[in-house]
Amino acid sequence: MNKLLLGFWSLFILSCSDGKGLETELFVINCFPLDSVPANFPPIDYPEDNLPTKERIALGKKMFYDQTLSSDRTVSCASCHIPTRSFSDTINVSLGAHGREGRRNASPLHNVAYLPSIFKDGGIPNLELQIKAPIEDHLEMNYNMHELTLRISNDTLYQKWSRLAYDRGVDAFVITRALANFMRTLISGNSNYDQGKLDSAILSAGAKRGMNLFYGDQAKCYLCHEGFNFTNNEYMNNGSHIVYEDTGRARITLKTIDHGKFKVPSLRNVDLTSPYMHDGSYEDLWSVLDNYQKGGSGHWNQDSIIGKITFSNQDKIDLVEFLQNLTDEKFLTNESYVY
Amino acid sequence: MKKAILLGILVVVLTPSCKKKKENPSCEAVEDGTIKLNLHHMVGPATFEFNTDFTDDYGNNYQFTRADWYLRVPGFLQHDNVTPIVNTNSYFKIDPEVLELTYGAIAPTALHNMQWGVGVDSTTNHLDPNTYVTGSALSNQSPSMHWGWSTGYIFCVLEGLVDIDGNGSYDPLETFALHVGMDGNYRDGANLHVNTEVTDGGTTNIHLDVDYSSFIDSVDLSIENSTHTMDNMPLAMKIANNFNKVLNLH
Repeated sequence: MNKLLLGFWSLFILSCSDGKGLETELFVINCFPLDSVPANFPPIDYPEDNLPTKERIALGKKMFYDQTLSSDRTVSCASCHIPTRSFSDTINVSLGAHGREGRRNASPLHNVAYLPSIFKDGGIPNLELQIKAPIEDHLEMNYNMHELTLRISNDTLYQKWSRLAYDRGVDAFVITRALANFMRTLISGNSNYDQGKLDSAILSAGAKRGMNLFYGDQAKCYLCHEGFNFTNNEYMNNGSHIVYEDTGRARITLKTIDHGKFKVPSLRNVDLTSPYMHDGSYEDLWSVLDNYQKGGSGHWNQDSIIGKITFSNQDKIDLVEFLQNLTDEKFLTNESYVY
Repeated sequence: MKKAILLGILVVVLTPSCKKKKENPSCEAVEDGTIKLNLHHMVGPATFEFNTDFTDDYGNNYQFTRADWYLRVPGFLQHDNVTPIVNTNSYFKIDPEVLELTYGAIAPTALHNMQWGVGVDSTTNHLDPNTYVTGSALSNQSPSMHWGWSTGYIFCVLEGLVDIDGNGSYDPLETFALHVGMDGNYRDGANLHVNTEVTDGGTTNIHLDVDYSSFIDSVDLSIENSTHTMDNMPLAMKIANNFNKVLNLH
């Protein structure tokens, strides 16, 4: 299956390489730069009913930036998922339609194509199903998928693009598939850290010391933030709070052992995705490191992996410098992602 | 050879004309009959009405402003309650405005026991509502009948006003919102002994009472007035345990 998909990508890259073949409005949409998918990233497992095409990506991109998707036409996906912030927000909880405050800190969207489940509690198994949630949440876009379908059915451009992309008129299937298709193109893997693997001179001495801390026995950050995307994708209680008003994973499983557990986040572009934790209650990386230094809050369900860490001030400076080298500037400024 | 070809042509030409007995009475073929479910929406002995006072088991006056739910009809069984007559696993989104449902068309047969339940079975519950044709029961509804933050349908949504302080009026915060879902809260009702027939080309009407007061049997709306299932599972389960009383033969 994966080989088949790689083959598909190869064809797609070729078809996108010169922009020809795109009709009318599609000319304004730049092709997703597929050559930016790092070679060391695993292949993306696309759903059979939503394989990527340039028309589908273009349609999803248009929808991603469209405030029509919210009930009062004031909020788009991009309102809370800002491209230059790795598609996260700058505030604790984002403001939805009618200025309502959300429940959780907006997650960055880089590399969502690789997530085995969606949301900080993993309540949704795939991107296509996830689309409905923010559209219908009264604290986010406060709309209704059925009503949205009726609203944008009157848009001749959407109808045209939808037929080009999915060979059918705009409906809930198209909305969810197109948005998911675009989101799967948000691949970030070209940071200084990545380049430093090829040329270690790219990383500063401080960043290298920070990297050694990250992967060393002292801090052991890698135990949870592992792999190409710096996450083990597990649900863990990291002791960020002494009381969890939001019970996290337990909200889905109803199990006490999941109280206060949230999905371990990717650390790519982490320097730009503050504030941190599920509720955005940690203002910066320093406050996060302070929490780990003291061994967490001691919450009754805190994971045993969280223990006191002996850090010097220089250690923390080095660690932050390493984390700053996980920033992928090309991803953040990629015009292909901007509508 | 020519005779064989002629015979073949005759068979091809005549066969379709026998599909419908009404069009050609000499044919022996029979037509499917249609099964319709006629719903009588009630609150106890009274006819259901929105914005009308009813009284719960604890003497609290209340009014419904929304009453939506999913009826599942897995199929019909023989007298033995085991052997299937027809097996469709059909879903219907019900609200008090829905008076007639078309279950489907089947070949003439005797019908004995109707299987039914409130909610969505655990397999169907996790399928993508965006893949259903607009207008089908399991497609996106307005207002929504599907959770957003987790997979699954909302099996029943009961909303309205309740006179919590008993002062004879519905004050602004005196509301109830009972949203019940999750796999574990699906409930089958006892099979209904419909004992009727599907006739050749005919329509079989099965009249059913929907009692909305049964959803809140033993629920004190003055204090048990809010659940979105996850946030108040005991109340959600209490309501789910009433599901099997909701539907009865008229």
